Amino acid sequence: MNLPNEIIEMIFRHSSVETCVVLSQTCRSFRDMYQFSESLLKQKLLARCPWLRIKEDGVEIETWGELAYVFCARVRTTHPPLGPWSIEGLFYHEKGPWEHVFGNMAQGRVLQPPRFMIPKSPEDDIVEIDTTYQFPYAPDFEAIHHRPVAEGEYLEGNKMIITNSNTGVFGGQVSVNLSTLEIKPVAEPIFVNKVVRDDPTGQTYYDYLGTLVPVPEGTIHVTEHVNNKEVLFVTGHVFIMVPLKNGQLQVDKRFSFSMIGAYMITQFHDSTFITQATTSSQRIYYINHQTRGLTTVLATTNGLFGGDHWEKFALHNGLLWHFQHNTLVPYQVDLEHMDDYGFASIRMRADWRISCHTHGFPTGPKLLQRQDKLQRLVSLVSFPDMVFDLSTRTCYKQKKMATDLSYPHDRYFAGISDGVIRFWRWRRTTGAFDLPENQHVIHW
Amino acid sequence: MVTLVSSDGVSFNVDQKVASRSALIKNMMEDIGEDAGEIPVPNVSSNVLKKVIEYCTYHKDDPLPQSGEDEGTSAADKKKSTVIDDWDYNFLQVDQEMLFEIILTANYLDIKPLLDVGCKTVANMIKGKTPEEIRRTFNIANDFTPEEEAQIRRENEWAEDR
Repeated sequence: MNLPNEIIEMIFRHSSVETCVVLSQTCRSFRDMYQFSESLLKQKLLARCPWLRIKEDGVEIETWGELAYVFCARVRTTHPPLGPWSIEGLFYHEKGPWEHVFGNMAQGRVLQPPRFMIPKSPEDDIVEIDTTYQFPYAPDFEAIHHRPVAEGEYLEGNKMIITNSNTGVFGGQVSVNLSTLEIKPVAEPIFVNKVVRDDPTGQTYYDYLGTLVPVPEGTIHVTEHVNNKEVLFVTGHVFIMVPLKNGQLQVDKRFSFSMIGAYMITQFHDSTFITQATTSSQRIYYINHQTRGLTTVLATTNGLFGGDHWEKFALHNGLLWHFQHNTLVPYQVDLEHMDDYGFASIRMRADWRISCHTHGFPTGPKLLQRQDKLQRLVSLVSFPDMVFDLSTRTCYKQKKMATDLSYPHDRYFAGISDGVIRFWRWRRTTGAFDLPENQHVIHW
Repeated sequence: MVTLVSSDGVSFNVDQKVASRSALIKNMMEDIGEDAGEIPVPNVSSNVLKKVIEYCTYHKDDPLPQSGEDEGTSAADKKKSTVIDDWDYNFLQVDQEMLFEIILTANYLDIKPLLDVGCKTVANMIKGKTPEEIRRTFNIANDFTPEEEAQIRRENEWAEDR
């Protein structure tokens, strides 16, 4: 077959990503064309999986051609084959496939723990309540997780209004007197968090950087989630999506939907996902602001009381990693191929999964997954002494800390500082941070 | 009417509307004027030219594609880009050599819809095949260096479900 380049390009244009990958492995002229088809491969991949990215936010893949190999389950790796994921394998066998992990360990370095802001003593009759678990880590320390436990707004008169359901306040507000700590339900809702009402019309708005976004009647509190493409406003169980263009809200193109049950919002790059759990099912949705629709990328039926409904998930190099049934499972999601019910095609890489279910280790249904901002390292609450590197499918584990798990009130936080993975400990008894002694140093 | 002359000297009298499906011939007719007379098509043999004229005749009333028109991005456009019309599908049920001759001719004569449907047909023939099967189907030599072969093996290292 001796065809001019423009015709080979046309054949690539009419082929799927998978076919392009196969063509690239057929002969040199096709391989050359593949390597020069970056914009075409980008277009094809984003149509299938809009959140894919290269060379940004810690994505290690350099070209769309390389990403196509991952998407088509062909992974380039600088590491030798590691064998199946297994915590057991890492913990008990220091040789073999995990040798490169232990080979990087060194001891004896002096480590500085992150600075933890100790609340100052109350002045006069003002009682300060730290309503979040946001630990102000040292600048060189990338916290893998922090999660606010309450959101509210301070009012005049030394009061605080709490409306967020994370505090256990559902469908209403409570007022906290910061002097007496007296808590009272609020009879007449108080607008907080930039919610205003236009008295003549009665319409309620949310003030987003000076732009007023109409919100449903009865809204008293709005939580906003922003990425580069859209802003998601959440008012109770109503979600309002407003596209962004050139940094401006396109309020006239907004659309809204409602969702019952518990939910958690996760954003990757410029995409937004919602994990939703009800008593009967659990789903992960991808919101597509162009089609104004929710695409279900994952659905299970174990529900609020049986499932891991607070689990977030990680996205790394095109794969969606989800913690499910004691296993960190990578999925390849393909939005172009959806069934009649709007469920996206998901291909599970069974051989890439990370099994966390091993003998002698604590397991439980409420395992909160944490992740760093690079979407590369993942740790789990139930396995606080471990960090999973999704890129190399490596599990880093502190052997020393495993013996410390008898202190259930201590919380461990994995993070990276000076290129070293460290596991910090927050002792609930003293409220102080420390670094467990004799910790192995893991270079990352 | 206009007369197209193939590389082996066979003349085909074709309606101007049919001949205008080729942007190349359409431009030539516009340059030369009404009395275009004979237009040589030196790179195309008579059996291929006959097939291409058959295609142009069937599609003579179709709207002409706009110059610079690219593939659409909507779902409907994507669907359209992968679907081949029944008549076109049957028209291109020819041997491989003829298929590539038709594609080359469509490229040379600048008949974009025929070029598109020809390339779609080739893409459909490739779909689902392994590199080795593609080589066999299209008689392609494996001209990779040993280093490139090793790289491809690495790319495929994780491809198999184990």
